[in-house]
Amino acid sequence: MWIYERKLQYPVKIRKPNPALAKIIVSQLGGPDGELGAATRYLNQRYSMPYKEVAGILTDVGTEEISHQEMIGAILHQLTREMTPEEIRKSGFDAYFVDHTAGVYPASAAGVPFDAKYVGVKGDVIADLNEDLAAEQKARVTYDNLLRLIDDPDVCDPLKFLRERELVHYQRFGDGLRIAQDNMDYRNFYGYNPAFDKKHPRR
Amino acid sequence: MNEQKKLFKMIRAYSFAVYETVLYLDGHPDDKRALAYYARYSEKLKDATNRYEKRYGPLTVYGAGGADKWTWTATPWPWEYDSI
Repeated sequence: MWIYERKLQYPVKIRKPNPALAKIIVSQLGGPDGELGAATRYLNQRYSMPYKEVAGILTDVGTEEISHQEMIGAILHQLTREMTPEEIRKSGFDAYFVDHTAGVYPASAAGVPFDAKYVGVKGDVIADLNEDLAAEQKARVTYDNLLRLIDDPDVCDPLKFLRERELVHYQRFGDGLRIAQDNMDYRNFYGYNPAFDKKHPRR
Repeated sequence: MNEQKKLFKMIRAYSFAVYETVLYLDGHPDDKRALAYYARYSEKLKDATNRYEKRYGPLTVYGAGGADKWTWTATPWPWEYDSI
């Protein structure tokens, strides 16, 4: 089970609401490389992961991703507080507002609702870990793009923290891939189906 | 910065150090330096968390309670602008 810790992993304190920024940052909650997809991907990949160290990485990175959903949620919530109808119209937040008011709804920057297609679970050690390595880099690029478009330091600060976490998670999934390959049959040069067809004796 | 904010900031720093080491130890379970680092900082985290919960309220629901008012929902939630 999980229990809630009553703190954000990194503080979010946005003095100046700005719904135009919420409109693009929402992608890191419900977009193709967002935190909702990340948490769901890693936590669901655990069951077919035969190596207990790597299942640990999936559990603990997946858990951290839940806290990143919360940080993005806090950013969206604080950017959209105390809006006037005029601000909503002028900022381009109106399309989102009509359907969700100032609620936090997982969708992409283009307004496409979250889709489970973003969650890669192949049930294969090599396929899943490579998916995860790519996912971390794609999320890092999305944060880079947001940071190219945003200049409020109150918003950039937590986004920079989240960007850095993508880099660390990429390193940790690299550890996972090394462990998986170290445990595979030495004749299995091509890393085929280690999670299903083969027994996986530990070295 | 008031005492509560200072202590909360320390808890955030300690828990970051601990969690970062957790992710590393998952993939390097025999690294003695990392094990010692984990032990040192999880002790600091436990100590700071105990001090905070005694004075300012629960950080997890297992630290909640209250004689006549439920403490878990008594203060702003972390995502709110006016939270600690």
